[in-house]
Amino acid sequence: MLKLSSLKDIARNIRLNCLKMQRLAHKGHLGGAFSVAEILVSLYYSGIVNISVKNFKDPKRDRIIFSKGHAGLALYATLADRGFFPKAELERYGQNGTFLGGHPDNLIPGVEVSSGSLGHGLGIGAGMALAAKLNNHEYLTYVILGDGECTEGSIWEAVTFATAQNLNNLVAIVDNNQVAATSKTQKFVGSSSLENKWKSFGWDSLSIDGNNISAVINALKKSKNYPRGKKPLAIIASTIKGKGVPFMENDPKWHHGVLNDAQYELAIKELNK
Amino acid sequence: MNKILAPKQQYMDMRDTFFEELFQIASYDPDVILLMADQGAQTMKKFEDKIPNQLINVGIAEQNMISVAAGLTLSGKKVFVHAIANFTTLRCYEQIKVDLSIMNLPVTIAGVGAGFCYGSDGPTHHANQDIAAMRVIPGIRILNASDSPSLSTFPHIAYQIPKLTYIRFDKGHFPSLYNTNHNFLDGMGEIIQGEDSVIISTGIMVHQASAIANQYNGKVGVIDIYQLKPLNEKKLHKLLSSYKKIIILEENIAYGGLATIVADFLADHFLNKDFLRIGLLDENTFIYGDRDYMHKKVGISNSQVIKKVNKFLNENKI
Repeated sequence: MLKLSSLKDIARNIRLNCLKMQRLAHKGHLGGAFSVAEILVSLYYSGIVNISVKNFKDPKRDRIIFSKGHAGLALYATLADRGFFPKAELERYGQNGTFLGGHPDNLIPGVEVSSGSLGHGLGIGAGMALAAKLNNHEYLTYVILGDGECTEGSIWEAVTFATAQNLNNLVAIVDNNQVAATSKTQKFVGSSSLENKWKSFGWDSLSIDGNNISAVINALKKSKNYPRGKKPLAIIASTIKGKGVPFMENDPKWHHGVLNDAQYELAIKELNK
Repeated sequence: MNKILAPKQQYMDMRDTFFEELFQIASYDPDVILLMADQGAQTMKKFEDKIPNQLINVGIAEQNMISVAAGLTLSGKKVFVHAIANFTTLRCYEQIKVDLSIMNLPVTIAGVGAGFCYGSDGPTHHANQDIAAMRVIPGIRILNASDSPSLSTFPHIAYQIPKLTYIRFDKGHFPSLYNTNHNFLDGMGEIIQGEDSVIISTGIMVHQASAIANQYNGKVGVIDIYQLKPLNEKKLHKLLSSYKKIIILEENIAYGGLATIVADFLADHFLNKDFLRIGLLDENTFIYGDRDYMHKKVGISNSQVIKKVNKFLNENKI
């Protein structure tokens, strides 16, 4: 596994690439892309999750579903860096004829599942986890969700299903940045914590700092032991929307706000600090 | 593949037809999985007893059922999902669009309770809009059974020619319209050959169309379009060549369903025919009773249809 400092550099580069892509395209959701960066780095670079360009067609590989598709910029930057497609394609984001849409589709190399409409990924992941059991495969299915996304009813249908089917090979990672498109999620999610919600539905729940790579890696290591038990695992990763650029942090404006020239320069400077 | 013929087995209930044939397929291929949203059928017991890993009750959660079907299919399974027709189409419409159509996954959606099959259960249970809604799902195949022989081939078509598919059927027993020589890959059948007018129908309304056509001493024919999408345009073109007047009879909202499918075909092919659509008005139906009673109340009983057809046939538009 790469050193922690290297992994942090990778997370920084993902954010810088997201900034550049938005700059070129004049569109793209930066806030959620920044909050999820360490989660993606931990999944794709730690060596814990068995997924790579080489094994992507192997039915026994682990699966990563990026359900919060609007944050696709971070996924694109990650997949390009991992060699799923040329990095030059990132510069074509938002241009006519690019294969990198505003939300990821599964025609993109490395993308398991099309997303962009929220609330779909966990059910699909549950299907993959169930297939693993039926096929006697040992892979795990990781589904990256947003906390705003968890207000979709379909998520809770899938949560219920996973418990009923004892899908101990299914791991939900909630990028819990607590900010949606227009406001803090607190305004519409009700009073119970996410941890309690998942637990009360029969899952195990692990609360971590989702912008701390070591914490995410530790959680992923634990996830690998879950198939010995019965319950699916929810990793509630507390994150900061817009993480890394102070003026963007925790502000719904940067859900899909586009940086002007001065903001762009300042953001680059902040990330390079 | 040139032909798919109906199996010789006779069934007394449409649901048995579908699930018995599917059971045979699933018994042969362990990758075939049936997901159902707490919607039973007699044959489910066979799945439970013989191949329990291939039947999963997802609970009353149609949205998740479609998503799970997508995940299973992406992992190599051949998935059929089942619920009441309008719940397994309209309730989870966006899952069908995003998880199945956008990802081009060959899942088969089987809906029981076409049209007013569950009529007395009220408008929540009426499937009068599902064809219109499903028709605009890119790449979907729509099969609508008019009898047991046709329905018995549908799971085989879905299994042997994988493609996102919506199979729609009734419960109960209906007389057979097709013999064992009919090739069900043709998409439609001419049930009665007429002279210059034809009733085009689909699903169990084909029986009513036939009963009505029989009143006209060979003048009026009947075509059953059981594959509503993709439409076998070549065959329809050929069948319609001798007809000047077309009547559409359906248990769907009159705009969006079969009538619209045929009207689109006529327009696309510059075919100038007199055209009468008989279906449901643009309203919900709050009438509770058996199917004949409901048909009478909404204006599509035999005698009401005959009256409309008589008037239409006596008009000289062209």
